[in-house]
Amino acid sequence: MPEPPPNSTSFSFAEFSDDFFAECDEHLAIIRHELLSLERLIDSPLPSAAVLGPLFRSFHSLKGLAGMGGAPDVEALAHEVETYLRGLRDGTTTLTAAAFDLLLTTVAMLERLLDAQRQQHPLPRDPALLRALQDINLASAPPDSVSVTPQLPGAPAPPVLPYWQFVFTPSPALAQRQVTVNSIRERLQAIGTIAEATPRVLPEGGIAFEFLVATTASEATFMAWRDEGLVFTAVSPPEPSLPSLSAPPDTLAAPPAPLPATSLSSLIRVDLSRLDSLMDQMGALVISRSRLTEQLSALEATLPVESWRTLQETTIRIERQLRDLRDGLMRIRLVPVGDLFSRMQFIARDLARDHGKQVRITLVGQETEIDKFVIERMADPLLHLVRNAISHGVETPAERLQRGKPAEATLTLRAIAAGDVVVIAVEDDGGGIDATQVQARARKLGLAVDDGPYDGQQLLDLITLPGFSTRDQADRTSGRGIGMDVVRQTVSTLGGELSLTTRPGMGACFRIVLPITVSIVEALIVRLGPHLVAVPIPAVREVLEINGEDLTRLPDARMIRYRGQALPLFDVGHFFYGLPWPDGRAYALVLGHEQLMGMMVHQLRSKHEIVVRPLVDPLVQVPGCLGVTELGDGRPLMILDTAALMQIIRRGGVPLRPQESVPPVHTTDARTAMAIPSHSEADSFIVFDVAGVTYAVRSADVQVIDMIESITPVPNAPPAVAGVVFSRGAIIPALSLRVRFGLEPLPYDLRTRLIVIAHAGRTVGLIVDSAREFVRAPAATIQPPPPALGGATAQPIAGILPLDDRLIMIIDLGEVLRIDSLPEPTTDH
Amino acid sequence: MPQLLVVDDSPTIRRMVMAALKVIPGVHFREASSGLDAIEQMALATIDLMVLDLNMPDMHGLEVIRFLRSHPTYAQLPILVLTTRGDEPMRREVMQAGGSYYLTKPFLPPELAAAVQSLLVNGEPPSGHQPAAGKK
Repeated sequence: MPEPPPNSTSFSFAEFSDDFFAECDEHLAIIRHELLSLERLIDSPLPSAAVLGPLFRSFHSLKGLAGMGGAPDVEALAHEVETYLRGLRDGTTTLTAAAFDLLLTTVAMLERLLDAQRQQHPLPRDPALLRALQDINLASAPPDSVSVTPQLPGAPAPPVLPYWQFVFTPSPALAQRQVTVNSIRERLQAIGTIAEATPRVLPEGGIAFEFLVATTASEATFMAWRDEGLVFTAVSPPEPSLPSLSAPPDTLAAPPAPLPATSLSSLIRVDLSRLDSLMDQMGALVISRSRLTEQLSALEATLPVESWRTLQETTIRIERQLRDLRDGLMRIRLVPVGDLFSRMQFIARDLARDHGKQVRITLVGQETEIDKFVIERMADPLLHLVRNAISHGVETPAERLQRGKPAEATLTLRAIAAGDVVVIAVEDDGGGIDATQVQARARKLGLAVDDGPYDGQQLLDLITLPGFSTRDQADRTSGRGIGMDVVRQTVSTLGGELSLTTRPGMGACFRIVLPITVSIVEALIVRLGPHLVAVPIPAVREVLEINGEDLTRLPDARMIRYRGQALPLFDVGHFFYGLPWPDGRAYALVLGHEQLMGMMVHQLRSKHEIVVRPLVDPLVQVPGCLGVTELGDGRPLMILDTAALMQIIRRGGVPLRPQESVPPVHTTDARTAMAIPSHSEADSFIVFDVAGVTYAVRSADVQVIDMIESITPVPNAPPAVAGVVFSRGAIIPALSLRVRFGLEPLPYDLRTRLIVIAHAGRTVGLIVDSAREFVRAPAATIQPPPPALGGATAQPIAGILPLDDRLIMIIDLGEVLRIDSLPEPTTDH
Repeated sequence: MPQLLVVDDSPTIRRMVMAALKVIPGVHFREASSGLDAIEQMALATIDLMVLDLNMPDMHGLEVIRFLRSHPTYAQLPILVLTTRGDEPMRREVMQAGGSYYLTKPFLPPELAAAVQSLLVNGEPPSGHQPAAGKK
């Protein structure tokens, strides 16, 4: 029985929990990887030690960690697996398909246990699993497993290579130069295979290390290492029977195996949040540089040409260096997709077995690297696609044979890097997606769907509608399943694109095109009427000038000629801001990776590196906006989400809202922030006026009171949302209380204020006619609102505060910010 | 100022061990992630006591003990074995090879600290007797 976790003692486990889970994850990743190569050895008499070694060691380490980490269930399971693997190694048992499945189930359970513990959820229980493991161990256990002499069987006969003996004598001087037994071992591993590594006592009492290395490298390669205390001689190969490091009972060392723990020693583990904060600082640096450039161009007229040019050259150099720095930072964030893929492989196997299907899973391009942020967010969507493929796409063996296909289906997970994007494909050779079934379901949901043949893209548009995909019945981890709508949305949020090709009876392939990294993109700044917006350059294939003769006007659409084809033109200025088609010159941005579309813009302004800041508040989450950015002038700029826009267009386009064009507001006055008393309490209030009525909010909810400096309108947001502003570096929605209360908006003047409140995890600015003062009032004096006030005028009032001769309405912030209680825009989507 | 060498291939366990032993006055730590690494550190620094894991990728802890005991300089070095292997035959083998004390993971921090302190001060384990390893 494991001892109780050390909880009441001199250190608390919480201190180590990040390390603990990170290390457990590393071992699980090794285990998953190694188990899959074990599968080939089912029913073979003696699995090779090269396969068993790392597996055994990882289970062993996991057991030790779990014991310390207060995870007795993990410890118990890992212990049983370790015992089983020892039996395999000693030849007292052979690997059966049933036992292999049991191992897979155990790994899945270990993952769930650690996950639950990490999130402090109740631990899943499966006593039957532990019993099953104990049973196979009992069935195969020799009387005393320790006394069994270890065997190192099955290792492939080493190829006959020249052997060299290296002797390394460590010294403090060498250690100071980082020349240590570990670094020497790494060097030797790089040039060949270490067959033996042994410590030796030198005649005068010192210590040296002897390495026997099989290598084809020439002597010249390591000649220079002599200066670092390394002596070498060519030797004859060791006797094949010679055990490397007389393997003690528990090592399972495979003679020529690389030594994983030390070969990893050049790796460091970095907390992702530290990396994120570096990225944020990088973003701030990029913004500062834009500012510098802007200020410099303002100086161009006043400075002598030479001085200006020198300055200009310096900023260009800074720009280049910033780009290199950013690329370097981004590379730190890149991780191979392999781990995610092998996890999918696991789940796929389980699922196939549950459905009585035979599926061979092929992984291609596991070494492809992609941003860790992207990988983490893609785990659930990818899982959903894999689940769909197995439970719906792949047929049962009988059906497949009937269709003349092999009984075993193939599911391929593929990753390919192509320039700035990574393409991930989930492809099966199952029955494909049944168009008639999808169309029928769409009609049932009340969608207008014709009978015509639908291609993959059209089907995808249907199945990714919210609420379209029914939650998978076979989804065993109920509640965790996501729908196809979320898959598409996630891909779109990451700046990617989802596409589908399907052939009835032949299979389906989902392709996800993802940017390798996120958060900083190159963008084209374009003008739409009075508004500037940013379009990420990765989405833009080409920019065309629109000539009158190339433009075809249809009653409800415009097309231009592009490479001999008719390219539909989308009028984003009209869609976003209700602008008319411009009279003069205009441009078309050709968008899309696979399906092309043109987007008309009025003017091209510049090319910029922009930092993408997502719009987090529900008030300003509108379709077609990726987020906002800033060019260095403190004004938020909308970034178009071209993938989402294309999706909207393909759906037939949202009816364009004829909206009066509100130009961005700029007042040049410096902001004068009103200081909020630091001892704000529940009974102190900020009092302000809207349309002659005095209101108040609790000062504890108020962050700052600003003048209205610059509001960027957010297209298709509720009318009460005037737009977004920067407040203390954050992007927040600005809500007009006048419009929110059903009144006409007033032009902003010197008295207009933005009261920035933080409420229930959201930060929102309230636009008020004027902010007056700060008052204190005992809580007891607050009266409940009369029912008529709450109902008839629909003003969200939490209470009334009589003060002197006035009545002050205390705003119910929860109600005022509720998105569904806002007056709706006239669009439907 | 005692200097301890903590040998374990798991960085988390090393940190836990050091956290448990921080209570020893004036203590200094060195770390090693493998058997060879441990032996090199022994050669390069003055170590007063070693906390040693058994199952490591390059060299079993038993081999490390046997090697150190074969060298006159390290014949007397207190070696506390801290392992997940809780069975009696392994404990016996470790003690025969020259281990000074045998503790199993999960360890109780005060128990580990007391054992280390006793080995440092008296050169022998606490209360002179070794608890039987827990049956696993």
